[in-house]
Amino acid sequence: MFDQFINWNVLKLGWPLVLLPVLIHLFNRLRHKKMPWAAMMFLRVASRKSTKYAKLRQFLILFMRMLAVLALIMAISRPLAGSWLGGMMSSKPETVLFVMDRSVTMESKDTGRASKREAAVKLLEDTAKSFPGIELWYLDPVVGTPQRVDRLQMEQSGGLGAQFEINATDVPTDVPRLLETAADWLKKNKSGNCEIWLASDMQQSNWHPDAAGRWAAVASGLGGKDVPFKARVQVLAKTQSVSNNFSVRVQEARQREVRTENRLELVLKFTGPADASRPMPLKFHLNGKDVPENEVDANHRQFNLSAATTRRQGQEAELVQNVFLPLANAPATGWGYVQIGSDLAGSERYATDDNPRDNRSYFVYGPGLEKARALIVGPQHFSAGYLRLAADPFDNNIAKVVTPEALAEVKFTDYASVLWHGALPTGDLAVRLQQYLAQGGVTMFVPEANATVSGDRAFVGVSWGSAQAATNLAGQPLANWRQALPGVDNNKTGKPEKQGGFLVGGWKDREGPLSNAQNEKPLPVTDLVTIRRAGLVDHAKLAVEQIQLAQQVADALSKGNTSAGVGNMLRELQQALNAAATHAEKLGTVRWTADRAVALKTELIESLANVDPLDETAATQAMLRLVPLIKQWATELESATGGYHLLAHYEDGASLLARQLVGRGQAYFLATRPDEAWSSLQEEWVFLILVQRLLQTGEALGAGSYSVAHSRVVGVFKPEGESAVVTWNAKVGEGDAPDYRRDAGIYESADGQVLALNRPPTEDDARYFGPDQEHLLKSLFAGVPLHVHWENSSDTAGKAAAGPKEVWRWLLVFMAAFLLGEAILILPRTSDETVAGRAPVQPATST
Amino acid sequence: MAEGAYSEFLDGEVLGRLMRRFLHARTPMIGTMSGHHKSPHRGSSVEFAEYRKYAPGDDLRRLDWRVLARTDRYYIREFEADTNLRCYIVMDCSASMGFGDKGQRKFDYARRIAATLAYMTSHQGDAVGLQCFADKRVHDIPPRRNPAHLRYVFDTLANVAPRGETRLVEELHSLAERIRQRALMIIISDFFCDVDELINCFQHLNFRKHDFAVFHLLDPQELDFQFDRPMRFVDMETDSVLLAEPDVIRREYIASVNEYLVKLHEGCNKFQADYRRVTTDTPYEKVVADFLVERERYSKD
Repeated sequence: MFDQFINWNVLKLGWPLVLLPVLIHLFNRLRHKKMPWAAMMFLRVASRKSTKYAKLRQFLILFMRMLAVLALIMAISRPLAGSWLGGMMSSKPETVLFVMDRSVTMESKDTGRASKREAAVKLLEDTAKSFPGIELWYLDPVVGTPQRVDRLQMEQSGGLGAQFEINATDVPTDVPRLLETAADWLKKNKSGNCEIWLASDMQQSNWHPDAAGRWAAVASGLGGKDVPFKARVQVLAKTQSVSNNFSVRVQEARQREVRTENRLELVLKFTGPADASRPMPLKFHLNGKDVPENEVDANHRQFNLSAATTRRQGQEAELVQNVFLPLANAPATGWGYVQIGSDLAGSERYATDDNPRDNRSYFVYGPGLEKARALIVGPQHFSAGYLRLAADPFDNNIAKVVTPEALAEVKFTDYASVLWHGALPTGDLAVRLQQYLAQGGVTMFVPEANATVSGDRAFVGVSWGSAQAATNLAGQPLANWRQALPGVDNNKTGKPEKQGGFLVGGWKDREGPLSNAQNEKPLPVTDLVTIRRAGLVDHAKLAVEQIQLAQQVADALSKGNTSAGVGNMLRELQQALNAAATHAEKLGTVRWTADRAVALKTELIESLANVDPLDETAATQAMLRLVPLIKQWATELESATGGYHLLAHYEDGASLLARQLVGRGQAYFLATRPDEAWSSLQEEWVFLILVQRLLQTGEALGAGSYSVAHSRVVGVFKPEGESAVVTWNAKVGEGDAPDYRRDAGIYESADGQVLALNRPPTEDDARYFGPDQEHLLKSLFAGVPLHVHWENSSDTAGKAAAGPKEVWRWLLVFMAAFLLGEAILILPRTSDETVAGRAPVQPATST
Repeated sequence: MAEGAYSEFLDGEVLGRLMRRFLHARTPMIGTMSGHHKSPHRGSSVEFAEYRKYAPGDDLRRLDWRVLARTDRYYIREFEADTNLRCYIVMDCSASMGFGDKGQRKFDYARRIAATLAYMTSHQGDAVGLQCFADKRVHDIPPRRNPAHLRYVFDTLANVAPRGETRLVEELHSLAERIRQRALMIIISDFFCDVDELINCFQHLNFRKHDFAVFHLLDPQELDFQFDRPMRFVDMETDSVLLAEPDVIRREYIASVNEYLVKLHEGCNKFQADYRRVTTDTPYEKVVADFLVERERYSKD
């Protein structure tokens, strides 16, 4: 009946209160009062005659009280009701916003041979019919802003497709970003009571469940206290599994000399059903022409997943296959694609399975094109080698090591991730790196090797604090992490030492790069031995603390509490504001713009600079003038910043791994480094997994460049920075009129650069949310009313346009009704219970 | 006198106000002395009653000479006879009469009524007696006229206490048998006994031509039965216990009380009992005054 409780804990802890009336009743029964009584003859008669009705009445009264308490508890726990109950109890929305997932996986076909996207569009159209007269809007993941739905046109011309571009795309759907956009739009338009209908195949990579910060923003944007609208989210989950889908991806394309012949080596990755046994034909296209079959080795003209050794999710198989294509007469640079199956006519040009959209992968090749994944930045030190090894364990030349001095020549956007083991960047370098992060880059910082630590240097609000070295029992610092291992007799005393160093105390195993493996087994993070670490200083948090301190002083002053002395208060206020400004400046220009930094100084600090602390009147007036400004800046600082997110910590609570979000990107800070004198990181599997996951995240986030946002690009062509406007014309691609903004394909710019765009790798991730994970989805929305209409369940969209609605008001009405019922039942029956003895009596007359 | 040992049940001010009234018998009384009450016999008062034919042996002084002169017939003039009455105050002293708050018990109330009426009766020259009973006859004071006897009555009232079970029915029958001459009986009780048997008693008293008044004392709590939680009711006479939830049985209780009261009232009316239902929250002065006034009015009628 109820889908969800916003204050679930109230219900969980409060339901026993339902028994309170019964307990009170029983307690009262036990609490007999002794009463000497004269009129026992009536009492005996009454007790004997006490009817069943009277007892039934008592039961009813008790029942009514229990129901009233239950209704109150449920009202406080704020239930959300879906289906008929929600529809009956809740008001209709004023605005309905449709959001569509148009990612590649939505092209999978369901049993009706319509793609999930087409079915979802149909569902949304059906849903629209259940909201007659209500304003409808459509938010497209490609367009990015809501567009009004012309209901008349939709009904007359046959659906949403007539008004909007809702064809298949290769663009990844970023669900939290779409919801944030929706929240901003709803806030801007003061939409009142609104519903967001999101059609999605529930692919986890689209939902970014590990992006806790972004989901917190979604939850506050849609359900925060200051939000001027009431939003409910309805998810149409197209989760029907796809059993017969094959996909191909070109992982690498490089020219090679094979027996004096110039050849193009393609590293192809195929995925498909684990039980696939038949060979699937392949087609190769190179520089505008199909490669003749006789030029391809017979073994490479097809692939067979039965030879696959990797199984994913127990149902999918992966096969990596190297294919060589002749490049004898081909140009030095070129492009092409690999396709599963032959060309067909019509929209299903090469359909051989359930999702034709992932049956083709595009590539470019050329001399000197390197496909770098990781950039390792730092001074000449053997730690760089460990980092490179972790980033490129198979020595595929996908990790590049540079010194900070050489960074002028490097474009960060060429790399999925940047691993930084030197001093934190400053100046222009810091600005460039922040831009890279803002565009979706991922960086990881480890402390400098010789860190006594430069606390002045901060990057995106984080700096290294003082370094700490672990000691042995004799109090001497450990020189090598192995000395901290249990059983090592460092001092030759005959007493082996226990496990030393700093032990890992805990980590986030549900999100982030240290989350559990797919089989839910935790990573061996506790194996890490740390003998040296650098503290992490969170300047955002410190800035907020300081501005709050200033606010406290200002509040005390405004309340007339000057017991500390006006001069002292002025000095305290100045110190707090100066500290807040200093910390805020260290947040970096992306998080705390220069304009803001200047305004903060001008409005708060400089206005107090010339105030004489001895002149109490002037100082008081000057400070009082600042009270509203301090409040305003405190609010702004709190909302604009936000401390780093701790992902792992030591036993003593010190930070081990923290993440700071910067724009679309993520900056990680590791408190120790892969160095014998620091820790055993370089020896641990967890380090390899950590780095590889960061690289994957970097690829998924896209490093700010559209090309990378689409996929791991085979070849990098796009100039760095968003400001560069380049027009890309399609040479070949998906759809009838390929557009680089949404479709995979080969695109060429006016200056001859060629770009291969593919679906993002995250689209190959076979993890989907299912009904058993609905609680996880609800936790992401953190109290925002959510209802998921799972496919194949009876709760379909058409039926459930009502969706989950808050019904606490109705529960209060029910409670009042129960109390009224109880009151009626306990009302004395005046007509029956009038005591005749109270009436005047006429004496008899004697005869 | 009321300010002394009897202050518990005698109030001089109340008596002062009530002494303006007179306690009348509703039926002719047979007394041995001249008094203020009608007698069934003819007497020598100034109030003419009737003529009757002369019979041999009649006192010639009562022959109406004027009628004889006019009609040559012998008629005797007869006049009403006034006599005194004997008042029996019958008081229930069973334990159930002890119900009520301290000083407001039914027993306290009964003593006030009994003492007040005894005082008035004695002061108007009639004989007053007191019968106190519970599970047996506790005190049996025959009616006397002298003031010293009144002190004896008051002493008895001062010393008696409610205890034991009620044997009202047996005692009333016994009283009806023992008192052969017409008398005024004032019965004060809560009458918590079988109502049919009680009515039989009243019939017996009526048969004996006694003028009897019934003061039915009830505590308001016994009528309203207002309790807010389960109670352990202990019978004041037998100490038996009954656990009950007043909320549940209140309706039946009140119905049962109502049925009893109606039946009792009808029985009293049937046998000419002067029935007065009194709740102990009513000032006893008012109760006594109403009693006297109505009797006075009835006597004039």
